[in-house]
Amino acid sequence: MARGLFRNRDNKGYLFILPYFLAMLTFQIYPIFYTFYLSFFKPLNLIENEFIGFGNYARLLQNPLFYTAIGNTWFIWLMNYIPQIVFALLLAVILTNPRIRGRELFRTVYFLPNLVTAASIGVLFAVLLDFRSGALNHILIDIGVFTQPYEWIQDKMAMRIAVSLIQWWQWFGYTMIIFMAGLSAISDELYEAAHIDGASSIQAFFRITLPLLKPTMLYVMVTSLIGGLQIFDIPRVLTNGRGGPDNALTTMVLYLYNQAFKNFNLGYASALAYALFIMILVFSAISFKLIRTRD
Amino acid sequence: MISRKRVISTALLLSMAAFSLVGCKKAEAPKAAEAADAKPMTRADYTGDIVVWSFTDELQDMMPVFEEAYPNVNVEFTVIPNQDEVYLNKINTTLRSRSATPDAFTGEAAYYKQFVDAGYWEPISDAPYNAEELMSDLIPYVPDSSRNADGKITALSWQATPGALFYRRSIAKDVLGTDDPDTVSEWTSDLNKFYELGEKVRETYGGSKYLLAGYSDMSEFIFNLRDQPYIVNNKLVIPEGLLDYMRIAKDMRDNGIESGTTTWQPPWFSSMADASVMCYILPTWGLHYVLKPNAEPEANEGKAEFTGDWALAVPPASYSWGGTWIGINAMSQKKDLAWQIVKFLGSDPDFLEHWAKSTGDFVANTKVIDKIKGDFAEPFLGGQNHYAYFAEEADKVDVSHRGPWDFQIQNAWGDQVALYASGNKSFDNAVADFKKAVKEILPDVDVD
Repeated sequence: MARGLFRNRDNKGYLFILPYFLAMLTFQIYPIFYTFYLSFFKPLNLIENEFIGFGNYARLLQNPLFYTAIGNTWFIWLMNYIPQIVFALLLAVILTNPRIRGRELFRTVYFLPNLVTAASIGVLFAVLLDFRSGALNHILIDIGVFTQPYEWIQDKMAMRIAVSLIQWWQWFGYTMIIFMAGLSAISDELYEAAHIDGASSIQAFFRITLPLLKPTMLYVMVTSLIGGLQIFDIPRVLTNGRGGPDNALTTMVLYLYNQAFKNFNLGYASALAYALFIMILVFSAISFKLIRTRD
Repeated sequence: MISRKRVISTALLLSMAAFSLVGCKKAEAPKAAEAADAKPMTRADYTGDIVVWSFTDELQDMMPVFEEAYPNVNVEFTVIPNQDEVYLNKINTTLRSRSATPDAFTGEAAYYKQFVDAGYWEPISDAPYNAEELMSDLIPYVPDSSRNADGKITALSWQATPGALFYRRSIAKDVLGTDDPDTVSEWTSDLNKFYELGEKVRETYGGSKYLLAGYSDMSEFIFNLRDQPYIVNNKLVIPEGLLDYMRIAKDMRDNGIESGTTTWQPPWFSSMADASVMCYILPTWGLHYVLKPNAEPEANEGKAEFTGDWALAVPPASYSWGGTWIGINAMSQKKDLAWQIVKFLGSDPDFLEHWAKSTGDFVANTKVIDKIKGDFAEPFLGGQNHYAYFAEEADKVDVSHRGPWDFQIQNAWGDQVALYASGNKSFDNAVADFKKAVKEILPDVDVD
């Protein structure tokens, strides 16, 4: 029967796309549904579970740490996203200017941090911020800012900012490259016309560059948001997976990970995964909507 | 942590010893088997392939010895390091899918109680295994702590892990005028005097050297000092010792008694070599796998002589830290073979004697310990006999209050101690937040 189906030339295309759909079913669709199924269970020990209906969702909504984790995630994302796009846009505009020499070199240099694995950056910062032997404390004491070493690793705000800083440093080069691609797609004729009509370069930037860059900015924002809401690696490495100090670096995904793989509570972790899924869905929809209505 | 050279030399030693083991085994094994059983089973009668998984590469050196003793058993051994909980999750996913492989696998002190609780390991107290019969030769706490809710033994271990305290002789001389272990032990064996010793170290060196690298080094003996589990009748119990620990940690931090690092962090390791710290509170394995390779790496690799600047003293309280157990997969199809390897590693006197002599590890068989404890003189410790000390300490180990969630609960306590000691949180808030953290681990436990 299947042979008959595919004998028709028009149907042969399905054969070619079949491998992708099989992989997607196995590794994406099935886990999505299975995670939902798991979220109705509570572990009794490592192997036995008990059905508790929406109990995990109820626990999650009543749990202050769940909201703390959302807050941490958003704080870290916003603290790195805003400076990141400002910086990236500025550099992209500067580095697409043909009068600047050595543009290619700068492009590469700014992009480099993106190639370093997050884990090694986390370890590096953990060493830099160390209490007695950390470079930061040594420098601050040497130049006379501090008289005593400061325990950065136990300071909630300092650690959140450190993570945002790392994220910013790692990603502004990448965002810059995307912006440069967007900029190069804007026709020179528009700038020439504006120039002839007597527009200053600042006017051209706000009236031509920014509006036409909107689709690129939407793309950057949505991908950054989806990535930002899933931030996990740096907080984990920086705090040995503890999410400390005082849960300041417990992001949504780190919380989920620790519940699943350290507290062995797959049911609750699955509920967290769904909460995260819905959040990303909603905010992606909102950002699409926002950009579209402004057009 | 272990140099390649060492691994090779150990492997060579092992294989040499294995030959000698087989030699004597062949002569005596049939006799013992005949007497015990109507249908004698010699080691050569066991045939087949078995799969063994472990998170530690220690077993890599044990497998050839086992295969020599059981010439017709072939072990397929896999190391799955537990970095990022990989081993633990591998075991979980495998056992949750009711897989028959691995036939035997190990569990570490931090989570073996979870394995016992879940019934991952086959109970081995009764026939056909009869592990209870081995009890008379073993340090009781080692098999006892693997007993399940029915009181059955589920796993054995080749090692016992009583704790000690190691100190730098040169600092002891400067501070106390002597490096004699007995005199130093008078200062280290009592928590109050230990703190006083810390003040003396600070005064002697004007704050440039410390008693401890970090207060967290004390946590293991503190955690061992309790008379009930953390969870009793589904209610959280915070032992008095933990509260004291929190206070002492802050005092030590504020008064410069400890250097401000945390156990297992890079500065903690480097402090072992730079002579800025007097004492490390480490157990049996800590001497060979942590202190020696980090304090005197060249000598440890055989490129230089040990300075002998270290010694062993009595810690403020007896404790046990870590340990690896091995048990039979309850779903295995080859439990008889798997039992042979568990029994061999966890009790065989010839194997354990050889293991102790070649690695210095402290083994779990009391007969072996009694036989060899007189012969040890550790050059790293200036010739001190650490084995005899550990033999005494092993009897004092009481881990009967250990529970499956201790590791997570103790980590949560450690987090709050760090916040309190660094001045970021009040004592009461730290305790209250610890209770919240326990609620995250065990949502149904009453924490108030």
